[in-house]
Amino acid sequence: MTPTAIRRWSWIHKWSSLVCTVFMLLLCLTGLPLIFHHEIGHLLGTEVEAPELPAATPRISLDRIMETAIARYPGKQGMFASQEPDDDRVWYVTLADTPTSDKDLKQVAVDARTGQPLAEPKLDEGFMHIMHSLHVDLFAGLPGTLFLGFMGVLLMVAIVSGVVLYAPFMRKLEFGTVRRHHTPRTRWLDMHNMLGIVTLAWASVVTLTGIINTLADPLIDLWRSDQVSEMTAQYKGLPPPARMGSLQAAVDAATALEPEMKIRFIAFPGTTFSSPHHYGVFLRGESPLTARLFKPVLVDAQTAQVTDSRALPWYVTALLLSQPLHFGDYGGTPMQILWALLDIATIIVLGSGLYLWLRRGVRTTENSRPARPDSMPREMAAQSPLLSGKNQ
Amino acid sequence: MKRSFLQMWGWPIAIAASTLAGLVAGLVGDGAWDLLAAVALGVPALACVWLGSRRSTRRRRQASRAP
Repeated sequence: MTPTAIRRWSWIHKWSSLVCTVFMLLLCLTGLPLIFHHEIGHLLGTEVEAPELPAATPRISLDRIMETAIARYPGKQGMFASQEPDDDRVWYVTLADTPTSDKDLKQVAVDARTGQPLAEPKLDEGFMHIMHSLHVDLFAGLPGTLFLGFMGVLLMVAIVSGVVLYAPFMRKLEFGTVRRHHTPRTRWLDMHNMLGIVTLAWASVVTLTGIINTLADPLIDLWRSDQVSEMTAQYKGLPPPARMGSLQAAVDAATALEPEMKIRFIAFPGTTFSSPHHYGVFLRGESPLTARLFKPVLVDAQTAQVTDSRALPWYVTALLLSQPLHFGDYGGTPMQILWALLDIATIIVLGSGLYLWLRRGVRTTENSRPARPDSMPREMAAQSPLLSGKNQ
Repeated sequence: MKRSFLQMWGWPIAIAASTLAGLVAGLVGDGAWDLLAAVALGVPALACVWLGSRRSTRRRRQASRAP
């Protein structure tokens, strides 16, 4: 690599990282508790626990589940009803003033076997809510999310340019070397390079899937205008139904279509995941992979007849696949712990990068070279024949 | 002394391959697949801990030979 090329890549690496580092540190720090959100929920007592009943206890009708939930908040209506993939004993019913509300949402957890209300998980308060909001949108809604997505793109640029610069930095060093007995700056440079290259694949995957996740809302909107409008074309122009039919009948119709699949969530008519005339019933498979992928079934909300069911388009599939790869929640506790370790390693890479930039002006006394541009790392100038103009 | 491509990139490529294999294995199935995922994804995590904390005199000599 020529000195000019190194200087250019250094410039790219410096500026892409400088702009995004503070936000990436925030994302890494807030992401750490989010890895363990279930465990923290248990500790804080905010996790919903279903009472122990014989496993074969039959499930009651979803219409009764909804009655229980709405009785807690008369005047509100159903928005979503969902179940955790690993626990079908609890229904989480989300209620709102209108199907498209984005505030004053209430959630009621209802026992799927007894119809008893179990808890009312708070959607907009508490430690985990603050962590989640800082991580997802900086409390700024979609613009905040897209901004973080752009910061993710910059981090990706920083990762790629960092890999390009790895070779000239490591020309004389064995892999993994950390020169502990040199200056702190050299030590942290080595640590930065070592942790950066070791976590390269993980950091790239989490960054790319994070960027895809920031596009969730636009992608769902695209799916709705693209596929859902086609699936419900025959309803175009009709007034929305005044009275909804049985939810349980609609769900039965959907599960009859795919008896092997389980319900992940149900979207009530008028939400972003349905149409004004339909329940959107989202089914999932059982393997770790298919449990993440939904099969949407649109069921007429009055007649409980299935209107249409199509495979999700590639961009929603990509979004759903990018979620586990970002969250690290698909391999049990060992994976969560590894996710946390790699996250901490990334924090050190970010922090050491910042430190190296802050200490960029520090030069050893024996270094009597004329001033170089800041983008030229000192160690390279001191060690590498590259910078005396000899091409590689 | 210029290091060959494999000397430079052998370990980084091996660690990246293990990372990606671990990420995919976890998606394929539960049980043994999750175990495989943990082992494969453990490679970069343990490499961070080990390389970041070891005190090796051999590396020091190596480094001090550099001009």
